[in-house]
Amino acid sequence: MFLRRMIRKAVRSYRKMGIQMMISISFTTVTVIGMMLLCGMLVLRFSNAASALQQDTGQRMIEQVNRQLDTYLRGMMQLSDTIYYRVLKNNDLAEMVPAESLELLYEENRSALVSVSVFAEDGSLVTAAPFFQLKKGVSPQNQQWFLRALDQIENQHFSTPYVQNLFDNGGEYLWVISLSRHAELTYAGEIRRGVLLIDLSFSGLEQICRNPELPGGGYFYLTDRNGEIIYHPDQQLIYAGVANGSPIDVASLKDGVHQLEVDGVPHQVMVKTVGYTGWKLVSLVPSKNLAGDVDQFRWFGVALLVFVIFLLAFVNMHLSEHISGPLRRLNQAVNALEAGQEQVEFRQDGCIEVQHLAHSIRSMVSTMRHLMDDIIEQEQNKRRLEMEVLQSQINPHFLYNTLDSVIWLTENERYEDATRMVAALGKLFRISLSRGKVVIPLKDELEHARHYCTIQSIRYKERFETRISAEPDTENLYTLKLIIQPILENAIYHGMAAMDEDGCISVHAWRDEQNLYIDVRDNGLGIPKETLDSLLDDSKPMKKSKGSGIGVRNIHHRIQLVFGPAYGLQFFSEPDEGTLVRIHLPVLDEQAAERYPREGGQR
Amino acid sequence: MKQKIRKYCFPLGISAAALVLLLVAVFAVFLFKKEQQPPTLRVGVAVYSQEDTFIHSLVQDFEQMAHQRESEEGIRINLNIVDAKSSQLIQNEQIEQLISLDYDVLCVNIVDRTAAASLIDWASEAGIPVVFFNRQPVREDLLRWENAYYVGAPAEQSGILQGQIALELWQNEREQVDRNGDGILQYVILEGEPGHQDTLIRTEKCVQVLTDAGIRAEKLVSDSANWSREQAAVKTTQWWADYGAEIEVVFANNDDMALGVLDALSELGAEEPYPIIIGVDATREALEAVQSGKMSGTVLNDGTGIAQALLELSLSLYQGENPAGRVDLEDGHYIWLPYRQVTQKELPGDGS
Amino acid sequence: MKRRHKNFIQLAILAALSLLVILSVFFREISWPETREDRVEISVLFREWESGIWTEVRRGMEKAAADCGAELRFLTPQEANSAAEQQLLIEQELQNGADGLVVVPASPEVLENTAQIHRGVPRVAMESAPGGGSFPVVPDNPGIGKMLAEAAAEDFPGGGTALLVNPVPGSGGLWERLDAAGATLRERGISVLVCEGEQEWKERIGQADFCLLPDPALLQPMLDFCEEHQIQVPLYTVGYSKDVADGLENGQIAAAVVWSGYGEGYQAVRQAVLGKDAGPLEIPVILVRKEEMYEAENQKILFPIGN
Repeated sequence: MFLRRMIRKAVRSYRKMGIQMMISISFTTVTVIGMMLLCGMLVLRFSNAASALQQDTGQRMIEQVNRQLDTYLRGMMQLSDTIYYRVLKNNDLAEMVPAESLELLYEENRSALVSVSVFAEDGSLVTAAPFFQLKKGVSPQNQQWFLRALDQIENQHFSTPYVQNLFDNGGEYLWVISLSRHAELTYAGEIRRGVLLIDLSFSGLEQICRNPELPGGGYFYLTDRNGEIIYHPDQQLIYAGVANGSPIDVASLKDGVHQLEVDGVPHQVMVKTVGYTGWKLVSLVPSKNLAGDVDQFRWFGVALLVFVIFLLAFVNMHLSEHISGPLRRLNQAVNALEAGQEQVEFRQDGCIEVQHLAHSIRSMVSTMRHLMDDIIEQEQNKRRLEMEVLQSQINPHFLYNTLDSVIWLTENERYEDATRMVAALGKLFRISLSRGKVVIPLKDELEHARHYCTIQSIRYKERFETRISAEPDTENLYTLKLIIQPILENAIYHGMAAMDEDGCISVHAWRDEQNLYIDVRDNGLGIPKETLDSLLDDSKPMKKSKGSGIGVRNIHHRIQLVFGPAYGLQFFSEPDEGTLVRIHLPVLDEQAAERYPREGGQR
Repeated sequence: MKQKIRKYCFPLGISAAALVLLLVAVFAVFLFKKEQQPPTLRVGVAVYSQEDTFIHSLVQDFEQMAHQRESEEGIRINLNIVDAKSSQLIQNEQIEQLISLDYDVLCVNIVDRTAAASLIDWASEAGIPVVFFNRQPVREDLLRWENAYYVGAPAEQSGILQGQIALELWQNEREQVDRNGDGILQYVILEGEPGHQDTLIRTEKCVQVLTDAGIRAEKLVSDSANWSREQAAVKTTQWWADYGAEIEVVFANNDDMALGVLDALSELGAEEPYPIIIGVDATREALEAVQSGKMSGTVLNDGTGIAQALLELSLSLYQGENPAGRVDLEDGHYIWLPYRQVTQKELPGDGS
Repeated sequence: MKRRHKNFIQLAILAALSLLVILSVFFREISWPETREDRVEISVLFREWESGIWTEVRRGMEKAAADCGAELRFLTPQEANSAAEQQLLIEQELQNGADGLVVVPASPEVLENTAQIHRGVPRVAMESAPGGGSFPVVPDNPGIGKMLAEAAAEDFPGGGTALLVNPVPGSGGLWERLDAAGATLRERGISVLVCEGEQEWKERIGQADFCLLPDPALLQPMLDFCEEHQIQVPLYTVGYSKDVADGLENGQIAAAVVWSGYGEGYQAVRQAVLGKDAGPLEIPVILVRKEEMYEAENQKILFPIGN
């Protein structure tokens, strides 16, 4: 359950991973597993081979020591034979003691020997080489070697090491190994029992056994068949009782290789029986040392493994970075593009495919931008055209009505009024043309409104009165042209038409910091609430009304198109009280006005 | 992104820093250890056998002198004394061991003088000066390497001095020496270990001095007693039975055997004056015997002088000086410390 | 910048690791415990050197040094059993940077005084355990004394006079042996004379029926003296040396309590190298008389063998 969750989690995060991570992790994992297997196998093979080799070496060494020992012991037995058959048996001891020949044979082998001596059955010394006096109070007939020689007369007997206690040799206490045998001694033709004793010096044996150092810190020792130590590298410590000499029961072990616990540590024990004597050559090697050099190899393996893992991780990271980096940057660029950022840079680097991809995206984006610009421009042009059309719509209606009024005035011989009207009309048109400018001085716009009012008030027989005023600080400001007139038109048609005499329309321009307000106020009927709400709502159909036909909505849009959505119209109306239309514009001085294009011109 | 980098950098930086620290620490330990102690001269001393009383006391002298010199020279002198127990095989192992432990100087009392060549080769390979003492290697071997030296007495001198003691007595106290009055010097020789350099040289030289001086000398018998007092006593007992008072001079290759002769004579109850008995080595007991007149003389091997020379040589080799500045170097390889004869007149009155 | 830093660290680690790989190839060659600076130097100081009773101890020490990779400095005091000289030598050794000390103290103060100065260096005391933070490698001294006294008491069932000689009055260990021996002897109805100086024992040896020595150093002079003055006094002694074996062999010593000096020396140096207390010395101690000296187990302890 838990495992499955883990796997699912891993899979999920794997899916979520970037290319770099994915590449480096999977590459590294695969190679690391491969390396580990390889290293492990190598170390295993090597250590097996090494320990086999060491075991082999150990075995060969023990064989070699065994052979040397065998040669040595056989040599001594041969010496014993020579002495017995050549020297003792051939001589009648009653006539002559063969001291000379004994001496000769002793000298021949003196490096290995301590003494050669012949004893009669009662323990008295017959002869010896080198010649010493027998110690006072010594009874050779009670010593082990003597008893054993007489006990088994057909054999030669090797003893364990002991201190020779026979001769008065100047206070030297020599450790020897005895080789004793029963000897027939001839005294005047009579055969008597005796013992031939050859004392081998311990150091001779020591030299055979001490040399080899076993691989893996092991050592040899030599015991007799009962496990009594004959030679041990720490012999004196064992004799002193400080070291434990034979921690294993050698007597019960057969020849061959054994794995045993010695002092709680596993050891490899090899046992080899030396010929004739029944002595056992034992080698002890701690098992863990058998693989000796493998330690170094293992270290090497581990170091190499760590090194290779790091190397791979390093290379993989760089490789995957090289592959995935351009892709990631491309991705980021596309994201930025999506977020609407204008300046997005597409770098063309990395692999050829990615380069190509980046190139394609870049050209696609630039194509798209061009298309989008075209669309916007077309739309704007369309809108402007529409506006211009709308603007131009005022002219025929208004002109028709005004001219109608002039005709009417002329027919009624009110020439003065007619003159005023025609003059006002002329000025009106001059201003509305304004040399094609979109933005005109405020005072011109107000003038335009005034002329318009003059014309309308003549037409409506002075049923309303007009007041146009401006705050002093608005004098040099500029405004969009032809925005007051349509509002006035509305006010006259909707507000004043129904009024008698006391109608009043005021236009007032004022400034509040960077805002220019133009209030158009009338005291007409007011606008019903629902109409008021729908006035600026593009989603509601425009109520077709009389007059010039330019809806306030158009003015509102124009302002917003030119100055931004913060500006436009506001309506305040109370039924039967009147209506206030507030035009909200930015403050524009002459310089600022220059920036606005003429009508029909390019942006 | 930045966060990520920091996450990587942190363990990496730590492990890098740890590595550097470790290296610095290892070096520091080395430097510190080296500076802490006064310089140490390490001398490996390989002797053929500690049982040899002469060698034993020589080594003891060497140790004592080395210790006294420590404070004078402001260095430590470590002696490692190894005993070959009369086996060249063991000695070879010991020398190899000493070389592998990088001792500064090796002093070798070689077991088998013919085996010096390989020892010198090992030492020269390792660049460790090797000083032989008391047992003299063959000249050709010693010349193999400039840093091989020999300190000791010329072996033939001991025999010559023995002969001279006998010669002097023969010339000055003829009546006493020439017991049978035949004008011929009858002598026996107790030889040391067969094949031993000293045995060969002493046996030959002591007689050569006499014959060179035009004295008629007759060898009654000679045999090896293996340097052993007891064996010498046994041999003497035999000879006494065979030749008795005919024996006028006993040459013993060393003092122990000379003392064995005395033991045998007193055991046999021989009448004084004993024959002329001359030994070599000047051991304590022999000196007592000389003092009391039982022995006619012995030859002193200057063990203390050898020890002194070994120490001086080791010090100068260690300090990289030319050894000739401190010791009398002959041929660039030899330092001779001559034997001295010791008879009653050379000894101070109080007898020690 | 950051990035480059990271790359640099990675490269550094790679370099370090490759170094590790190379090092591991030469692992064997650079394992350096065998170099000279790393060898432990143990200074050994006996009470005296002339008597030759320490030969076996020294051989054991040399064996231990070879086994443990230590180097021994044997200091030879000019004057026998001089606490002042010992102290001087010890201080000198400690100042010269000895890594360990093995001392047979001539007086307990020797080690106690130096304990204040150098706490870090392991100091092993043989023969007597003087305290002061040193590790004792000491045989069972009272037990030895008792053993010897019982052997003597057996030989003199009718009582008598025993002379107990301590050649080193400063040595606590020797006193322990003698005190235990004295107590045992008194229990068995044997009167006890205790003396220290050379003059004293020479004067009083005539009055004694037998003599107990806690240490074989005095053996030879005493035998010589007795021979010279025709005095027949059975000797009972303690310790390991060729003199003891010779004395037993020649019948000059009635009985000896013996253990292996070789083993003791080995243990002492091993202690000094290990540098921690391993408790009391566990070593077989035997009583030997002439008749028994060649018995298999006894000769193993009494006579040194090869290696």
